[in-house]
Amino acid sequence: MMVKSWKLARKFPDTTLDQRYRMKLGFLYTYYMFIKDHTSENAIILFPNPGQIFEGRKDVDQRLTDKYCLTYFLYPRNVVMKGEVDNPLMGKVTHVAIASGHGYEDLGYETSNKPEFTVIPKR
Amino acid sequence: MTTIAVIISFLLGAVLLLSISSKLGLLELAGLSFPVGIGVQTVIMVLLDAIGVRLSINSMLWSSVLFILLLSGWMFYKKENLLRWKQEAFKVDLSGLNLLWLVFVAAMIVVEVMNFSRCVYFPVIDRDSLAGFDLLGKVIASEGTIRNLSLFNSPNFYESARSAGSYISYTPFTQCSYAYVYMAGAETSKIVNALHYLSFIIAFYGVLRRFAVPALAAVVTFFAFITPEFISFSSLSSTNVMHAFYASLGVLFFVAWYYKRERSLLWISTLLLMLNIWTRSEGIVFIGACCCILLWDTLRSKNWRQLIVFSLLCVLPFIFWNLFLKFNNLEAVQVFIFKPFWDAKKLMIIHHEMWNNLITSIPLFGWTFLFFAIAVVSNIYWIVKRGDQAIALLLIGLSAIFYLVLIYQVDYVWDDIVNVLRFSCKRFIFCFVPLAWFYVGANKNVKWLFEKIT
Repeated sequence: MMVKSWKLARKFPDTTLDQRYRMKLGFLYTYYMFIKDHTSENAIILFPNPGQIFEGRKDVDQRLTDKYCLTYFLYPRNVVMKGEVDNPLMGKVTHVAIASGHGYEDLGYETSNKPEFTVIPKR
Repeated sequence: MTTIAVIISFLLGAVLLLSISSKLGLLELAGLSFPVGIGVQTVIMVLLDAIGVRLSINSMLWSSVLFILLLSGWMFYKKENLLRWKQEAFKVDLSGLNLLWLVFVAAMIVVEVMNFSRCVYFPVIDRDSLAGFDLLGKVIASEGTIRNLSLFNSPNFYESARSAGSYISYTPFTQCSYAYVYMAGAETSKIVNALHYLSFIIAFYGVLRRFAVPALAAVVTFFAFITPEFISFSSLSSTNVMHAFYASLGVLFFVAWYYKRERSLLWISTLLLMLNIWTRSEGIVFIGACCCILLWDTLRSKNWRQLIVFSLLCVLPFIFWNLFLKFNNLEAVQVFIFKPFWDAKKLMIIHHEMWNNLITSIPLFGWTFLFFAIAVVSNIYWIVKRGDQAIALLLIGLSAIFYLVLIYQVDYVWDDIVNVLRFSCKRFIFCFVPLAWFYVGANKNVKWLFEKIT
């Protein structure tokens, strides 16, 4: 494991931090960065519950889907999880993260296209 | 800027260590300087925050430089100590260096180059750090505060930050050390972990050299350093390997003080044990063990002042941190049960997990505890007859007993006890890995056997 990681580091010495994250976290990182790129810093983003975000996907680390892990990648944006019914920010959500097809029911309006993973402003 | 920040940490540690003791070897000084320096800087960080100074790289560097200047002034005031250290530390002694030493030192260099490279190359990806220590470090660096941190005080986090097992109650070394390098512009905080492990190898070899010939010290350091789970976690952004550094070396310098009776080594041990509890509050078990031995020693020497100062200093960081949390309304739900109770089922679970899944696990801890057991059994004659390394053995035993009591007294409301034991306690055992290997390398029988073989 150590030798494998070291060889990878030697093979691609000039990669950016972003590329190194993609090497390790794959689609999970790509999706989180997509959300970061498509929301403003003061956004309040509603996420499906952790188990639903990458439902059924074996290519992502399912442990990295809780509120604090999401905050790590999306800070300073605020992350609200769907199960947090008492969260005072629940009524102030500005965006809904659509993950594994979940989240459309929280938008409050219909969309013509329904991609599996995206982020959509909430009206 | 990150390089300058690291150099300042190293310098601060070096001048502080030299101000305390002129009896440190060059390798001990080299190995201890960065961890001690950055540890002291995290204390400065919390102090600055407590008095309302905004945390930034400027406030951190200036306050560190001020400390370096003050300590340098003290060092030059006591310059005979410095001159004595210089004479001793730079003595070149090549006796005892042989082919075996060369082979193991070369192997350590090769493995550490690979380990260091992979550690600094890959960013933080371990869950505990992403959701806790590294996240806190990043946000502290960004917001310039600990007590008013949004992750503790904003309506979005207020409730969860105060729940059982929350990161709010973790002692601040790890998150503040990460914040320091982030303030200095680092892309990831992994340089802190990488330098801690490198420092561990150097300092452990240095302190073991007080008790063993160079070749034996190199062999033992190599095996301690490649313990599977220990080296695996050393390249992650975890707090446990750094804690193992402070805890194990704090205990080892205590052992060195006990046998050499050089008081300044006791103060080095004190400093490391202070940083041990500043890194993880479970570190209290090592302080407790050292206090027991010191109390026993004090009953003979009657040096009560030494015992009181040692004990108070060791727990001071823990008291300070808890007062900081209390005064800033940052307290999480308490998970420690203070009253005694009897729960046979819990005891059986702890025994089963500790013995069957952790201590005897070769994939996790390699030969560490097997060699330790063989070393203890084979050395029983000398332990009984001459008390050979009995203090090291007592410290390991007492710390282990205190740790078992501690995990028994915890109310596992935030997770299943088996999960906590299997995944969290596993990492706490890292502290015992260097201690066990130290015993293997420093006891009379192994030294005798090693001399015969080589």
